[in-house]
Formats: sequence, structure tokens, C-alpha cells
Amino acid sequence: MARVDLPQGTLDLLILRTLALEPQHGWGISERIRQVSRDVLQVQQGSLYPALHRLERRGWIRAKWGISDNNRRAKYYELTPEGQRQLEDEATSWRQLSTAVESILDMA
Amino acid sequence: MLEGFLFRVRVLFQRKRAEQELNAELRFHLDKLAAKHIDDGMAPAEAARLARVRLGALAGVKEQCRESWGFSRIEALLGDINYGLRKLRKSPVFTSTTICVLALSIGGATLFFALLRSVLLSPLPYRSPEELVVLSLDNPATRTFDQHFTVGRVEHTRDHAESFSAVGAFLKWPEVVTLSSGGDPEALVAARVSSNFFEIVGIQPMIGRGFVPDEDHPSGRSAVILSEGLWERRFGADPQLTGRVLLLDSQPYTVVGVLPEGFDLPFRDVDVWVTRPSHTSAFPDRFWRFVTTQDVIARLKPGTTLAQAQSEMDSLNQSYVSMYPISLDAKPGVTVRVQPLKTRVVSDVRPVLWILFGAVCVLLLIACTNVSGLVLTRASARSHEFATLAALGAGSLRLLSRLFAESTTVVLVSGGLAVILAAGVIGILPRLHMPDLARSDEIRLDGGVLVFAVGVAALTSLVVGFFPALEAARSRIAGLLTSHASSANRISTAWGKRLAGITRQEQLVVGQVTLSFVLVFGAGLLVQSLAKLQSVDLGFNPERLLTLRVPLPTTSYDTREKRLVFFRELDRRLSAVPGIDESALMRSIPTAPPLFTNIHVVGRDAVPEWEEPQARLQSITTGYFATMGIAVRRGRVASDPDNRSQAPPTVVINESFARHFWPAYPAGPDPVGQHLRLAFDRIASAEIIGIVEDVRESGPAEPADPGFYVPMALSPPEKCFVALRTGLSMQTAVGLVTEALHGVDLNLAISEVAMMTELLGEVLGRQRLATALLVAFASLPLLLVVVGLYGVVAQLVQVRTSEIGIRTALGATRADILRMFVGRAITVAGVGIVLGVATTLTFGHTIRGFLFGIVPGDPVAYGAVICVFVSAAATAAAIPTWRALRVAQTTAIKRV
Repeated sequence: MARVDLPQGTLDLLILRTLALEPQHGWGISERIRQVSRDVLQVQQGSLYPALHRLERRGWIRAKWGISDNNRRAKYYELTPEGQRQLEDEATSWRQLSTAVESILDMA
Repeated sequence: MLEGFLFRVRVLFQRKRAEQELNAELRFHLDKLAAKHIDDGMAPAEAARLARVRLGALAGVKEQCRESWGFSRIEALLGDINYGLRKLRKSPVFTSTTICVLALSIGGATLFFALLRSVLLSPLPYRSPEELVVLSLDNPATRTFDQHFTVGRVEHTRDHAESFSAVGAFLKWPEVVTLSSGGDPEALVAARVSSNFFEIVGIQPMIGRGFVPDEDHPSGRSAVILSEGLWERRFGADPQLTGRVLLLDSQPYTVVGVLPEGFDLPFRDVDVWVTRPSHTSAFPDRFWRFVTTQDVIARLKPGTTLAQAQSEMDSLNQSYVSMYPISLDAKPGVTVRVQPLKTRVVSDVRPVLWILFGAVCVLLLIACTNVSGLVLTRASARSHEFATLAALGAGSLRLLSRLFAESTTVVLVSGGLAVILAAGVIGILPRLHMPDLARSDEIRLDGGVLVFAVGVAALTSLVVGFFPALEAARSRIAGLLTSHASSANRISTAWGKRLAGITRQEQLVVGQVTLSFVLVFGAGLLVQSLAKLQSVDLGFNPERLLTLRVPLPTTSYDTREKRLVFFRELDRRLSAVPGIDESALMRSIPTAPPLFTNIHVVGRDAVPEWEEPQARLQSITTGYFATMGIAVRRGRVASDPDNRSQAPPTVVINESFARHFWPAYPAGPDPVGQHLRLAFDRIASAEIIGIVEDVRESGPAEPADPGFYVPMALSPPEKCFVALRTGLSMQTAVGLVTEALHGVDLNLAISEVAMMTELLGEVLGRQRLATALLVAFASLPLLLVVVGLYGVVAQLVQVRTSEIGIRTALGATRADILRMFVGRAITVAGVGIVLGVATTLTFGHTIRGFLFGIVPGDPVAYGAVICVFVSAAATAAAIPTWRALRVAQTTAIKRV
């Protein structure tokens, strides 16, 4: 299975996008990203939690303790309104970037 | 943003919990990962291990998370500050001295900045205050300054000046009037201003109106405006008061308005404002067009500069002098000075404030140098510690931060204390009620002042850190990790480049010595000057001398005869009061505004009236000289027969008068027996019957004027003062005098009750305050210099302990060693002293205006201050050397 390293800065976008669906704990986030990308995107576990804490500090996500599916306490993260806006901004610029890169790659 | 902020706050203050949560979160992840591997068929132990590998080094992840909390740097700083505090606590004396000095100097600078800002820098609280100017007359030829205008000159200026949109006049001196309607008679402080005065200043009465032009005319209606204070105190803040008629000095005045509290023009604490500034009650009405009593206030036309107004006034002055040569204010050489109203209002306090502000800034500089020295000493003493830290991987920023932690902590603590201190003093200022400090009720601790305080503290912290940073940069602390044996070399290298053989630390001490020399010297001059002022022979004895004023209404006492009867009767009753040892009535007392009149010695060549010399006139009852304690030098003084209405006119002169008119006095022709013509009371010929010693009527700092004394019968004044020498309490004495007064006239009140020592104290008060503050500012840095020198020598001695041991072993005596180190300290102090002397010689003249009987270059003062510094330096050096000598012989040899 080919794995792709995440380009710098995209991890934040992926986390925000994942949390836009529903509040999730760190493990859930990494699993969701892996599943949705069909094992292409592997979040470096060591960088996931610093990223989560950084996003929380910026006020884009907030954390609260909840009960996970197998009855354990887990720290769930959810998107704040500010995070929602940030997600939209970053998604837009990401799409612009990838379209631009693609059109250059497709040059005849 | 708020979310993020709350997150930070939570992390910062619930650090432990945040750590626990982080652990729990990561543990959850590991478990999940392990569970997944087990699901994939892995053995549980192997799965847990793999999970851990996948998660990366757990400690590293945690550290990264903590870093993303954004607090590692702040934490490090807090740690350093905590460390700094611990270090500082170990030397409490040094620390508290430094904090005290820094707090005092930052607080002092803040306080004086607030004072300067409110009193000198901020505009006056009137409409377009920059347009307001005051005119006064100077005459360099006769060395008289700040003289007043006659009515004629005021009118001439008003009618011709183009530079001003309005010209008004006011009487500079307070008048005392007796209010006798609506309650007990009460003596009030009155200000006389022209009808347009309030319009020019741009202030509206809170009730009623200002004056109208008609009220300026001698024949017009008499109007009065009350202060808010009087209106509330005496009339219960009655809003219907305007239109009421009040009796002031038994004359009817119509109340037209009430002025709001805090309006202090033309001077402070006015009760009532009335019109006709030319009609001062100190003079009979027939004089009113001729006497110089008025100051001029004017408003510049918008766009007109002070210089333009000044040059117009110069040419107007020319035309006035040529048109009215015989006028009293048109003597040859007279010039008009146009100055901003603000300059005039604050003229008394301006130099004091600037000098004290300067002193407090110098104190601050000294404190900075001192703390800087402290940090430097510690830095070199701790170079080993820093080297170790550097070897363990601490960044250079981190090292500097640790180095600065101490000084920054000190500055932070002192800055906080300083603001509290300044706020406290500003809070109690209004309650101190300093009549000398103009605008003191406008002083505030506002944002600007706080910004200043923070700025000063930040600057202080920079200055404090400057030298140590310089050292750190040069010596590259990490490179100092060398063998312990060469520590002496290392430290002397770390002290860095020497300037003319003086180490960096010693340079700091030189700076401190220089700056504090300037302060101590200035304080010394002021102390000496104050001592001289206090020991000046005033010519009279102010002890136990009670003075008070009795204003006589000009209506009921309109003739000389009526006043004379009153004076005689009051004098008789007072002399009969038991407990009053001596008493006398007089026209004025020392410290009160004087009255001058033209003098002509009968038999000499006549000169035009406006060129006649003037002398101070005093009318007295026969008990005067005995009451005041003035010695008779020659002849006799007036006795009861001379005080009768029909007695031949007699006059007693003082020695200045005698020297002025008979330059050979006390030799030469005897003034006693000569006759004088006195302009004021149109006395054609009065015989000089005696000469008395000079009296410094204006206070100790002013020389005595030529003066003369006439019996009350010859010149009965409109208002009089009473002086008593008594052992009774002031209250009892005032009660007795009031009783005697009401025995003569029930409608009179007394005012301005004071002990003569108090009045003289007020004259000296400004001087005393400045001196006390400067002495305080000077003694602190002197202490700091001692501490600083002590530190330097102690360091030097410590480094050279082995050397001392060897020297003593080789036969050097204790005296030799002492001489070596003390000599070094004196050399260092000497450089500072030389620089200090140079500085005081350069800037000494700024303080000249405050000195009495002493010049800034006084060699005795220099000698004294130099002695103080040399002995301070010697003491500071001797103590650590002596200590070292005790240990040197036993331990030093071992160390070698």
C-alpha cells in the first residue's frame, strides 16, 4: 500500500474537516482520516496531539471529556464557530492550490 | 480568540490537571492502538510495545504538546524570576536597599513628572489659555522689576494696543474687606479686577453674570461676585442671592454672580471679587489716578505672537513715556514685559520643580548604576554556574534571561512600589494645602503619568541590564569553563576592558560618585544657605509676637480724625489687657506689602517729583519699637506728646535711610535734627528725632529698605495691624483683642491672625521644602556609593586573598595591605569627585537663585563635600579589607 507523507500544514485542515462531521477523540480522528483516504494518509501519531493542542489554543476546536464506545473516558474535540470559519478558509485555499497545481501538471 | 485565551489561562493555572489530562488522553490512544493490533492477531505484549513505538517517544510527544500550549517561554521566565527572588532573598539588606532606592527614585520621578505635567506643562483651565498674557513694568536702571501700572497707562494701553482683543487690569495684592450684613462681621479676602476680567479669561459665573463696564466707573454701581465657597458657607448656597445688597466695609454692593470653586485668579483663596482695581483701600481716594497698583491682563488677538505683542508694547511704551513724563510709571529706562499668564502663575514654583525633578532623575541614574553593578558582580561571581548551564545546552538567550531575572525582578517590584508611592503622595497633596504650590489642586495621576512610570521602569531595566549584557557578550560565558585554579585570572578578564586602568565595575562606581557628588553638593549649598537665612538678624524679635489685622470701613472711618480716635481708643484698651505684655498699632507688619512714598530732605536742591527718591512709610503708635524689639541707635523715638493731633511733625528713620541720604553715616553730619518733606500725607516738614536699626520687613532673604516711621497722628492708615507680645495662647489672645475691639466698635472684625514666626516660616517655606527634599535625595545616593564601593573592594579582595596571604607572609604589614586597597578605593572615588566638581562648576549657576549668602563655587562647601566622599570611600574599602586580612594568613596560603 502506497503511503503519502502529509504536506506541511495540511494536518490542521484534515483535523478540522474530520471534526466538522461530529465531535471525535484523537484516536477516532486518526482512524477516520486513514479510512476515508483508504490508507493513503497516515497521520503521524506523534504530531497529531501537538496539532490538536495547538488548534485548541487557537480557539478553533474545544475539548471535553466524554464516554467512548467501549465505556472509557475519552477526550472529545469539537469544532468551534471560529474553527468552522477557519475550515472554510483553508478548504478554499487548498482547492485553489490543488487546482492550480493540477493545471500546471496537465500542461500540454 | 476568547476560547484560546481561556485555554491558556486554564493551562497556566491548572498545570497539574492539564498534565493529568494529557497523560489520560495519550494513554487512551495507546490502548486503542494496542487493541487494534490485537484485533489484527498480534500478541498483547507485542501490540502494546508496537503501539508505543507508533506513538513515538512519549516524552517527546508530551513536550511538543506542552510547547503548543505556548507557555514554555513564560514558564522559563517565571522560573528565572523565581530563581532571582531566591537569590535576592539571600542578601536581604542589599536587596531592600536597592528596592527602596529604585522605588523612591522611580516614584519620585513619576511624582515630579505628574507635578511638572499638571503645573508647568498642561495649559491653564481657561478658554484658549495660550492667548492670555500679563504685562508688567521693569526698570533695569533702578533695578526694580514687576512693577505696576497707573490707571493712565492701563487706559493708554487699552486705547492704543492693536495686538490684543481685550485689555483688563487687576490688583495683585489681596485686599481685606469686612462683610457686615447677614450675620457676624467677617473679614473677607477681596480681589479687585476690571469689569472685563472674567470675559478676558473666558470664565462664566455659575450663577448670575460677570461685571459690566458701568461697574468700573467711580460713579457707577458697586457690584460684587462671590466665590462658591463663600456663597455656600455664608449664604447656604441660596440661588436667589443675585440682586441682594451686601455691606462690604459698610458700603452697599450688589451681588451679581457666583464663580465656581477652583478659580484662582488673580490669586488663590479669593472670597469676593469687586471692580475698580485702581481704588485700593491702601490709599486715599485722591491718589487713585496716580498710584501704581495695577497689573494688566490681556488676550492676544488670534494669530498674534508674543513677540509681535512685545514689539508693539515697546513702541507704545516710548509714546507713553514721552506723553506723560511726570507719571510715576514713566521714569527713564522703564520697559514693558509681556509674558504668558501661565509663566506668571507658576513663576514661583517653576525653578524648584525643575531642580527637584533633575535631582530625582540623577537619583534614578545612580540607582540604575548601582543595581547594574550588583548584577555585574553576581554575573562574574557566578560565571562557573553559567558555564555549567551552557555546557548542559542552555541557549545564550536563556542565560541572559537568567542573568536579568534578578535585576528585572528588582525593577518590577520597585516599579510597583513606585506607582503606589506616587499615587499616595498625589492623593494627599490637596489636603496639604500648599499656598506656595500654584495649581496643586490640578495634579492628577492619569494615564500619561502611568505611561511615564512604566516607561521609566522599562528604561531603568534596560540601563540596569546594559553593562552586564556588555560583559556577557564579551566574555562569552560558555568559554569560561576553565580550571578552577585560574579563577582569579578569569574574573579579572571577565571584568573586561579597562579604561585608564579602571575596571568596568569601578567605572560604575565613578559614575555613582560623580552623580551623587552633584546631589550632595547641591543639598549642602541649600542647607548652608537655609542656615544662614535662619540666623539672619531680622532687626526685630519675632518670638511670641502675635499679629492681626483690623480693616476699617472707609465709610464710617472716612476722616483722619475718626480713625485717629479709633486707634487711640484701641491702643489704650489693649495696653490695659492683662497678659498682653506689649502692644502697638501700625500701618503694616513685616512680610505685608509695603507702602513707599517720595522723600525730600528740606534744604537740599529740589528735583522733579518723579525723580525724588522713595522710602518705606510706616505709621505707628508709641509702643511700636518696644513691642517689635527694634533697637534705637541714635536720638529718641516718638512719645505720647508727639502722637497728639496738633504736635509738631516728627519722624524716626532707620539706618538704611540714614545711609541713603547721608552717605557718610554714622560719621559726618547728624541726620537727627534735619527735616523731611513727605509726599504721601503732604507733610511739608517733619523733624528727624531718632534713628533705629534696620528691619528686614520682607523676610530674611531681602535686604532692609530705607524706611521711616511717623506717629499715627501724622498719617492715620485706612487699615491697621495690631502686634502683641504675649505668653497667652493665640485663641485667648484673639478673644481678648476682639473684646477690646468690640469695646470700641461692634461692627468690626479681625483677620489675618498669625504668629510672626509662622509668617516668616511661610517666606522660608519654599526654601525649606526644597532643601529637605534635596537632602533626602542626596543622602540616599551617598549610601549607595558606599555600598557600591564596598562591593567593588570586597570583590577585589576576594580575588586577591591568596596574594594578600603571600604578601603578609613575606612581611607586608596590615597597614600596607590596607593602604593598598583603601588607596585604590580613594583613587576610584577621586576620579568621580573630580568629575563631580567639574559638573557642579558647569551647572552650579542653575541653583544660584536659591542661595542666600553663599555662592555656588564656595570653596568651604567643596572642601566639606570632598571630605565626606573621601572618608566614605575609605570606610567602604577598609571594612572588607580588614575582614580579608583576618582570614588571609590562615587560609590563603593553603589555597595557593
